[in-house]
Amino acid sequence: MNELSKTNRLTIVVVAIVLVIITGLITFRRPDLKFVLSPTESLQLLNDQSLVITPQQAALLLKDSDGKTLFIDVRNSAAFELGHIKNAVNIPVRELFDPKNKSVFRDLEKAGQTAILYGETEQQANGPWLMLHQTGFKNVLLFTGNYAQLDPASSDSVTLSLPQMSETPLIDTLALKALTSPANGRQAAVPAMPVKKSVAPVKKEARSGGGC
Amino acid sequence: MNKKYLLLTGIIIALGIGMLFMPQRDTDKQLRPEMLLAAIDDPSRFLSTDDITDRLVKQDPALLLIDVRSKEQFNTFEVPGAINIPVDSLLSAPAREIIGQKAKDKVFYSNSDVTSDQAWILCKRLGMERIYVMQGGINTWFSTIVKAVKPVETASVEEINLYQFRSAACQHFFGNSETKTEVATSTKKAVTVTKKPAGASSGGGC
Repeated sequence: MNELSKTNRLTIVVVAIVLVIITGLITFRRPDLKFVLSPTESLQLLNDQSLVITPQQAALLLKDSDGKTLFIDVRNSAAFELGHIKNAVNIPVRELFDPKNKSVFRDLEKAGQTAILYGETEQQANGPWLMLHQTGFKNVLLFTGNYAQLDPASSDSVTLSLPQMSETPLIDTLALKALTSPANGRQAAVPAMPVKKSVAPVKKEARSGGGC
Repeated sequence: MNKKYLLLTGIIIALGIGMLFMPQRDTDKQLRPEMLLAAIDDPSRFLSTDDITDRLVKQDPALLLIDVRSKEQFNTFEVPGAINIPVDSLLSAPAREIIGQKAKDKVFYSNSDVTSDQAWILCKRLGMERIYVMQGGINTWFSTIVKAVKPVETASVEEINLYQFRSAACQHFFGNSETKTEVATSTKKAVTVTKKPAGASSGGGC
């Protein structure tokens, strides 16, 4: 009798352990979303010019679409309601990884199409762009300009007259020159001396003025 | 009965061996993609150029400006007291050590705020703390601080005060910058990252 109850207890323990393991295996889900690229690989994305689209290229695409691109608007839905470019899909930044939005990108990939992310500024679209590439969505381009450069409300001439990209240095070399003395070691390193010399009168004026 | 003991032992050993062959996860320290996206959507990482200038003028020892532009651009012009970590070497060991300093507020800046924001995202993914981005980057810094526009006579007191602050800061940085910016930069230890001595400027005004 004693022997029997001992056996029973052992059976129960074995069954319990097996049950726990099976439940564990069944409920174990791999995270749906994970980083596919290592940080170092992600860093290399930043130098890849084939992953961005300039305002000029985008303007051409807007004029006659080749049917292979889809503009994605990452601004919030209120801004999207006020105005957006034709056929654009609104995916606000915080909703990027919602299941239905992820399937938008997966469907595009299957169809061999490319998504172009644009935001109010390049900086706004930059985050989602980098996140998508890091999590394995490859067919995503970053628009390197502001929404204003795509805005259908503004005329074509305006959009094309703003070819400037966000990361273009805008520092006024004249003002910079006024800040640093001509004897400064920095300027010896700058090869474009003759060009700078030609603007000397302005510089003198700025220096004699004293204040800012 | 012995069989059941054997079975139990077998299961446990099998599990143990299974764990041994599990792929090693070095991603535990990293932020999950969802968390990183939430951080990206939060604009609190952006510091305005005026805030940063204020802290620079006050020589805040906890402030560390990191210029992620190329070395050439850094050598042409930099915000006083900044160190240069070109974005390509962002994840090198010495750069990580600098950005990983817990006691400092690290502020990334580039020409605009796109490259600096990309650097921020990559560092944030690696779990680094107290990192920020200069809003508008050096383009905005230059146009607001160095080339501060004098407000009209009828401007509000705030605007005039802001202008006076900006032009005073400009004077502070470039008027006779030799001694002051030296102090501001001397607290920083540049391990391998290139650091430029404060620019001497006898040129006077801004």
